[in-house]
Amino acid sequence: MPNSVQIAAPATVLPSSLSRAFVHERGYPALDNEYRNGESQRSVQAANSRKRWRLAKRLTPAQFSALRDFYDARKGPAEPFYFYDPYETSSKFSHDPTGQAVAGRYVVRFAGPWEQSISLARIDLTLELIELA
Amino acid sequence: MRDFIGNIAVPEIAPSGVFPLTPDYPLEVHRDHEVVVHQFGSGNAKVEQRFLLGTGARRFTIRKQWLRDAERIALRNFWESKYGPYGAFTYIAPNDNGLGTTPVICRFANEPLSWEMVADWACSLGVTLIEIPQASPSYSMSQSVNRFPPAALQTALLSQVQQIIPLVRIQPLQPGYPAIYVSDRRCTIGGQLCQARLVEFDGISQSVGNESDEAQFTFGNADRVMRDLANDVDLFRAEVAYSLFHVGTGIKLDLWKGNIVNWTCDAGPEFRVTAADGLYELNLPYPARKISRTCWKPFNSAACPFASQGALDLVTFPEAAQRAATRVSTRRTAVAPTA
Repeated sequence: MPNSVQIAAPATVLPSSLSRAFVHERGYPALDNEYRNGESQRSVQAANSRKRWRLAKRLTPAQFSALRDFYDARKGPAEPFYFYDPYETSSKFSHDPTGQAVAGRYVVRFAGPWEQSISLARIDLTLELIELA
Repeated sequence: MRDFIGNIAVPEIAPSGVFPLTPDYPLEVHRDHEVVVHQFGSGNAKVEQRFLLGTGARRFTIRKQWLRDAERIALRNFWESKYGPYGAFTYIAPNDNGLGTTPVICRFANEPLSWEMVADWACSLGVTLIEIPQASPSYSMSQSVNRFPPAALQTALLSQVQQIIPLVRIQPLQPGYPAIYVSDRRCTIGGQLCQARLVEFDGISQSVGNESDEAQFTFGNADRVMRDLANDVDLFRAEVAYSLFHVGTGIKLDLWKGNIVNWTCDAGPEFRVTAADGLYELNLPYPARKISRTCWKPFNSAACPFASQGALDLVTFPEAAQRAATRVSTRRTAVAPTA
């Protein structure tokens, strides 16, 4: 008999850089039926929510290069890594490049394609991260 | 009092807690009375007939352009405590006249909770709350007729405004099993409670030839009640009666009756039933036997001598003793006697 799929075991941390826009999203996998007068039946399929982040960044070429290398090393959405939600770390906006600090740390992968837009001395890009277990 | 579908108790979600945010002006409240409009050519194409499908539920959209971190965390924790769209709670809704508030039982819409940070201590967000109706309409029934509308209903059907409620009654073959009354809304008709469970029904098809009638019904299974019902009783050949209740006249029209010939459910929120009339089996080249999860043998009979030769597998199925005390044969819970 096959056993359960293993949980993700990340070994790296997303490099720290400021975001121009930061959106946090979370959802429960839920089933619902809705009827004519607003009645409903519902059930939830998980014990905690799955988080997702949408980040827009404007980076210097050096920062961009580091992030692009990190993305390529993770093979895009294939490999997991740690991400620190800067609003949930024990002191806001702190970052532990070793991945040892637990507060605000999430196991994630990239979601969606890599999209960049090059301007003078700055590169704009959007990232989407989705939580893994 | 708790609702039952057959012998299956419908899970109740008790409201708890109060929505932690106070809404800003302008207050957005949305309610969609679903109406189907049929337009006719007469009266310079201004004659139409409108069928009210339902009143829908009130939806409160709460937008915060500038929400402080403490409030964001309070909302986030509250939303998590409700498992997102699952739980029910009280929302203190401001009155339309701007004076005072009214508590309303709500749930979160089935969509992700999302916020965008606009500063290191503030964010903007929007959430939608959906009212959970606490009362259901009750209608008196003046007449119950078979298939063809009487004169009073024929006249009433000429009105421009119509409201017709579909009703489905399922009666499993198992003796003594309670009948199941459902509709596409929760309502009481002629003293009979019809629970909201009917999501969709496909047109009942009939043909002039020798084919049997066919009908398909889709029932809500988000709470897994229909799955549990199918595990509890053999639905194969259960009688399905489909009626239409005309709200204006109080006349119930018993339109069609048949038997369940198949049902399917999967991980999704729907339970589909296919029904046909009696001709269906006459057209089969040989009698079909459905393999179901429930045993066809009457429990504790000559075909299933449980009392003398059987035993319950209480290790694998610890609930079996309680179930066996109340009813039924389930091959899954009883260790079959050797022949």
